Amino acid sequence: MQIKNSLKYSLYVIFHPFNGFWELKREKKGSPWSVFIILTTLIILLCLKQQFTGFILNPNVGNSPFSLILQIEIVLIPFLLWCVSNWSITTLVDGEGTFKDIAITTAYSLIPIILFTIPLIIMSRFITFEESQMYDLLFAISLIWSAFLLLTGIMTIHQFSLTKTLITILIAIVGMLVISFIILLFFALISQVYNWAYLIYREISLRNI
Amino acid sequence: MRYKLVSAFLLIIVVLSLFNCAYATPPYQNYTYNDRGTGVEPQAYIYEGLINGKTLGISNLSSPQDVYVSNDGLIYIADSGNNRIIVIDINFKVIKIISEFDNNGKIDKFNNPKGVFVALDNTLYIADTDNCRIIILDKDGKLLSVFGKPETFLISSELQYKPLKVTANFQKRINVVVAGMTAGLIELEKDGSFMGFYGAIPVVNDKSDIWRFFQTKEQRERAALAIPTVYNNLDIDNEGFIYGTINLEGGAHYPVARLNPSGMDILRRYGRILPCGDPFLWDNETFENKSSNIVDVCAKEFGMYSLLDATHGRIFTYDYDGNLLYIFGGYGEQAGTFGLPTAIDSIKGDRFLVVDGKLNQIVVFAPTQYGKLITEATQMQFQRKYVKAGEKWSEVINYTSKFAVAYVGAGKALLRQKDYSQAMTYFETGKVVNYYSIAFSYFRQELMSKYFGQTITIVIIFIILLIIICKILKMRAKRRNIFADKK
Repeated sequence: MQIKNSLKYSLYVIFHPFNGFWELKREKKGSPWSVFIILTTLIILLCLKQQFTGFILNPNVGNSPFSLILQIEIVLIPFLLWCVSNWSITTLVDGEGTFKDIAITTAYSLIPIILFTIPLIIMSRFITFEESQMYDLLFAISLIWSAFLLLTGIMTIHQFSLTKTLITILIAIVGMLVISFIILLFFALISQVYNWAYLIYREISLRNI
Repeated sequence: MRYKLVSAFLLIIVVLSLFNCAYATPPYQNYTYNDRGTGVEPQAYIYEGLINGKTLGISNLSSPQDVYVSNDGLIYIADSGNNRIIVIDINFKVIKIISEFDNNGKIDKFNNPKGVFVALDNTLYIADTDNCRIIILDKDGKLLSVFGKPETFLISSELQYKPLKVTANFQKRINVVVAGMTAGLIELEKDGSFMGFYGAIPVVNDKSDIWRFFQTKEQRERAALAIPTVYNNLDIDNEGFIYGTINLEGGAHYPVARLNPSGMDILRRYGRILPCGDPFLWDNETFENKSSNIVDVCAKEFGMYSLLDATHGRIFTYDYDGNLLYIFGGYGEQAGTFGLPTAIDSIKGDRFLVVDGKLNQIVVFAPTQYGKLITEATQMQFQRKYVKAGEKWSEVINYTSKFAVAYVGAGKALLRQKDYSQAMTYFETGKVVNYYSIAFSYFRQELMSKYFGQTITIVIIFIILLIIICKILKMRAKRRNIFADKK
């Protein structure tokens, strides 16, 4: 019941972002479960979008085999990177939001994208190439709306001014790049170590002592 | 029992060996570039025969450099190493050998003639490369004129004038490819006087533009000069437009150009990839980009043209819009492969002659049924007979399932025949959004006019239902509130 309410509340949040995010934080109207549900819905919708958008707007459908893992990665990796990076930056500059707050805010600000996806898929099957600007316009509106929600959300939960929010968001994006770089470096090193150990193992096992 | 088994086994072998007909697979592949990279297609051209000194009954050819098929079907071969022009007929029998001519009373000879061209009235144009001149003979081999280096201050006197290839248009203006000439083709008037340069290739310098900004003056001076690239071959089509091939090493954008009379490139490039042979081929052994090096072009009728690639020895054929139709040929030792292809021409747009400058022979290729169908379909499409072309394209589809050009052609025919939904499927398979969109808009229109009444009725009923449901819900909520208040 609580999850149902917190999901219902998301419809209030997207139209009243300042109040909505404030109450999400102070009155604990959001829950980690709702984050999970929102992200899962987004992943499912992205899959649907990739498979069922009309040919005119999706001419490359079926070129490469469909991969669920890829769709999950597209949503989850940026989400986690963003949350970690934003949390790391905002704790340094006295942001009031916890990690949980950041995750909930980010998930709730994705709601417009989720709401627009199904109508966009249906619309894409009824429009010609000349009318595809309408589609692009609606898609752009959903993106801008989500970005605006994210901005206000971060501003509200951390109690930042607008400039401070913008600067922290910029730094957080740089932070995302740094984190992904470090992760890649780490994996490269691990594989080197693994190769080294494997070579020694082979050397010993192949040598007839 | 055992005897039965053995005899049955033998019988099977005998029966199978009856079906084991002799067949030959060409030592190369036909493929096209599609939305998934490349796709293998049926063979469009297969090896038919060889022409060399032996088959002609004359001494061996030596490094032949050019071939031209005249309008009345005679084949002119520039046997450069032997300083002669060989004329053979369509059955590959020698008609005559031109190795000398009467130059104002004295016998004159060629020296390494690398280009040969025959005009519509059978006038023979020869690029006599190492003699630095162009020779024009009439159809009986009598000398008409000799044009040396054109006298103009625009061509540096230091330049060694080496004409490589030559063509002439309907007005008998001569276009010459000169080795190392960066200003384009040279255009000569009927009387041999210099008219100007033609179709100069623009300098492409985009790679270094950003870096030049950061470079010091010394670095800029030391950097390689951006010199325009040179033409290496040319051909003229039956409309009088000149196709020129360009060496891409100098950084030109396109390896082939179709020049209009004012020297502008008007080649149509609407295919999935540019008409440039293999655009990018990564060699895993040498770690180099082994993309095509186009050395000759053969303009055919109905806007079709073929490019000869010297990197892999392949011949690429395109239609008027620049769609890749088929590929054949390759390097190797087997029949149908080359040592070093130098020139290409086609006999009446049908069979191909490819000159091999290393193995001193000419390889003849004949179209398969598949190749013939594609040619016919392309020709009909060029003549705007879309419905007939569509029939041919659907026959092509019977041979292959991945050839996008065929699907698009068949789709266009269906569009004309107002079979919109089928046309949509074809365009979707061929992956062309713009034609799909056209077919779809007609399809939508048709549906709308057909089911307009029903759709509107359903929508109105739906809206009325919605309103009623909303009202009922509101009344319920009110009642609940009243009860809540009473409590």
